[in-house]
Amino acid sequence: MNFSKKEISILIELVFSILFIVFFIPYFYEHRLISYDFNFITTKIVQIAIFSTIYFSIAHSVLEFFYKNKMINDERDDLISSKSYRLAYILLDLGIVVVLGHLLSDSPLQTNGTIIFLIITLLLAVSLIKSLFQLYLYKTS
Amino acid sequence: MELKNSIKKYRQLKGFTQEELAIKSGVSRQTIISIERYRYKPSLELGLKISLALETDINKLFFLDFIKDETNKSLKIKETEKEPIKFQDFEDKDWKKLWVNLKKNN
Repeated sequence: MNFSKKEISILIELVFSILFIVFFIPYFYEHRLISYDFNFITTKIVQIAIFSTIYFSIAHSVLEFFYKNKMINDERDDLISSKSYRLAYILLDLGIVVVLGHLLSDSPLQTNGTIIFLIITLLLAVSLIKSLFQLYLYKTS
Repeated sequence: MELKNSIKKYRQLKGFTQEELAIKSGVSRQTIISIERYRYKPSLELGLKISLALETDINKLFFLDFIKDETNKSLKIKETEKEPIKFQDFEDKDWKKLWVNLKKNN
């Protein structure tokens, strides 16, 4: 299967989502019943930011090494991008409704650990679906 | 009715590769591939850029494929709009036909 530079960059985003699920989600899931303090949350955010920066720097450097031609963004890319972001927006809206429903319910799982876990899972799921949809559109249109 | 194009034909006539046409039109090669395979309908602006790059009239490059539909439509119209011939316009063969039909029915 032949992939263009644009499709490879979407795959890079996909792989990032998967790696994030593998490295960070188990920790957030295990600690969803506790309430995090501000310092802990800051530490986690810094860890995630460092991980993202290192990953994307390496991935895009490798991409630029193997694909030397410039990535042109034309109207077809804009159309595919708008379609996938529209889908992501709809999914995010639905997800927020679910999260809000959980918060407003009388569930005992209303610690900020649960809220953070739900929000991160929602964002990851939306990102994954958006990338997959974009890849599908690139391959079929 | 479907939008079709003959970009591949004119591109090959000019001796361009898909990459060359893409560069001349300011789009990616994948976009040209998608357009040639009828998977993507370009905007008017892109259509004009492609016609400029191929130095061909845009009406020769892009067309609506409704000829098949129109042929079928006109045939259907001919069948339904066939009016019966009046007696005063009857020819000899029509009288003979009428006579044969009357004999059959009797």
